[in-house]
Amino acid sequence: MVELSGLDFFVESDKRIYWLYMVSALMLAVVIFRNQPDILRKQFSKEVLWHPSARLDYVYFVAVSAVKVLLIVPLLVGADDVIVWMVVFLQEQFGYVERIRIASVWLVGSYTLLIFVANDLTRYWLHRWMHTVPLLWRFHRVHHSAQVLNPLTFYRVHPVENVLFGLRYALTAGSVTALYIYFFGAGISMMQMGGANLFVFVFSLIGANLRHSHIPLRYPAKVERWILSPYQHQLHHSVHYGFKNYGSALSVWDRWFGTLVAGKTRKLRFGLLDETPTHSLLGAFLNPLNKGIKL
Amino acid sequence: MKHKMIKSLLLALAVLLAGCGSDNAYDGTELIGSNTPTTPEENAMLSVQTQVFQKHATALKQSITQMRQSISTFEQNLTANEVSSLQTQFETLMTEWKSVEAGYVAADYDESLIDTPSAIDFFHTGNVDVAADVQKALDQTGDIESALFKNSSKTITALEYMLFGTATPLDEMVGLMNKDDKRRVNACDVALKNLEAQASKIETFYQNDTKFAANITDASNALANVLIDSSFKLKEWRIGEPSGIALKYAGNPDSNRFEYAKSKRSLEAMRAILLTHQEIMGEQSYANFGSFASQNGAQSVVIAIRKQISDALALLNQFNTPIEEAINGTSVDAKIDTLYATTKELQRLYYESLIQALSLTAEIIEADGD
Repeated sequence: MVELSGLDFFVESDKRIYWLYMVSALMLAVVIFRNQPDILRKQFSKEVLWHPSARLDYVYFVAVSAVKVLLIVPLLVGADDVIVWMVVFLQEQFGYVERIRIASVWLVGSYTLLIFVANDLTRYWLHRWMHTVPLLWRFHRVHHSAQVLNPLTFYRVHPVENVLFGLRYALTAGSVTALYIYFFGAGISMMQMGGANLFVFVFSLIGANLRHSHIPLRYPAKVERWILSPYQHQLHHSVHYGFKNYGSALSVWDRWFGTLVAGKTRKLRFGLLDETPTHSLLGAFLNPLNKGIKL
Repeated sequence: MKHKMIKSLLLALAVLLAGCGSDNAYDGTELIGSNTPTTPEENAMLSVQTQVFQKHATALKQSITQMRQSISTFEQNLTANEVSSLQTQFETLMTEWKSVEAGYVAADYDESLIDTPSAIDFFHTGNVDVAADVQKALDQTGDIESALFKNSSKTITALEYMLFGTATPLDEMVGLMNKDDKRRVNACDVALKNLEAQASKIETFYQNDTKFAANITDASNALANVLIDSSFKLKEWRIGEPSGIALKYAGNPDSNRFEYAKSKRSLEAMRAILLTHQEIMGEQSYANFGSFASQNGAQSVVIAIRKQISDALALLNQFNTPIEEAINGTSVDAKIDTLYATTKELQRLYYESLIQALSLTAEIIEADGD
């Protein structure tokens, strides 16, 4: 029951809304914007937290959690299957390679870093395609239809998009792991903090939950060239910069592939320009499947 | 002012993290540092596996020493019985080596033992024609030890050629063994001397090592690696390539590619390998790696692994003649196809258990978009 409702997400460190990441985001916001009480006040105002769009986020979070548990996870190809298939494929196609023996600290450290970077890169590209391929945009616009942002907006994602991102994860983690097993054998593992990838943990701690909020937290300009700040993601959600800042944790992909934007902090308007938003759960689920019909 | 703010922020985060206690402990130390076995099951498993490895290393060394002793008793020309006895002793030595090789974890703990297997056995290593080199040394007239200067000429592969020629009939082998004042017999002793030295190194390692039993994670990794390696080589090199099932020789079978084609003992080598897998993973009266993995959540995959090992062994028992004779031109006995499929599944299951044990399925931060 807890799993179906998604409540377990608050106590699992590999989830974005893990309580510690939420508290750290709140602390960052309070400390950094303590002299700008209007910003904090707005985030916690009824106007934002009880906006029809926010109310949809809450209902959507519970509904999509159930869909994931009951329909997506049982049917989706897992990283395990990809790993086994790919290691056997590599051996059969490229032959046997003598296992490379390196110190565990380097093996585990490089694996943890590589899986984080590879995962971030594939997230960038799939996210970009979700915007640029018309068929995919039909599903991704559910996420961008949010007119106000809160941490649960992260989960306002159509189940079709969940499936695509799940497959992406299986292929990415599976491929990286298979390559490591092929060259280094057993002994690989992830450096973890409280059960999450070390780098993910750090990224989540430095305000990941402010990405979907009205708190314009920015990092120093030099840092924003490498790590995407919450404000840069808010720009992505604004009606004018939807085709910029596709990245998740790292901004290098946006920088290298020409989609990075930062500039001065300005007042942003979130949502979609070209349509009246739907605030119904059924509409969010079904509209992308029935292009002409609005529920 | 700005620095003061950053400092207070960092302090606050540090306090927050510290307050979370073990919930947020840095698990990396557990993964890359010492992981001493604590439970009786872990200690029992490591102790038993060490004993198994020691047992095979000692048996290997004894079989070599025994063979050298037999050779040292030959004063006159060898009889057919004596040559046949040497050939039987070769089979024992070779199968003991296969047992050591199939569970060879020593290289993970002692770098000086990484190359030892290639000094014992020369299979699937480079393009050296060991038989041609040995024959060249036999055809010379000088000191046989100097003539066999190449390391590969003193391996089990070389010894096989010295004792069996190219699957040469026994009566012909007797003549060859006695030729040139028993030069071939002396060559055998040179090879055995090398093998004895190499086997001693391995035996000494297993008798004195304390590292294997000191770290359960490293030991599990070493065991997983050696089983995966061994199952791959069994499937691909020892079965797939001779039978033309492996991609490299697809549709082009050749029984000469079997590991011990000259002695026609390849089936015995395969059996020894699988029996070692059974000792490590199979259902035994003692706690082994299989029972340990089973108790740690891999029960279903361990059951499947055990079945594949038993099936493969049962298939080997169905061959009434040497496996080399199951390939005739382009015709390959269907049992070899089944054996290949069984060992392929075995290797896949080993990977599956490894991946389960590594818990790599933990998602990096969910599979959602952003």
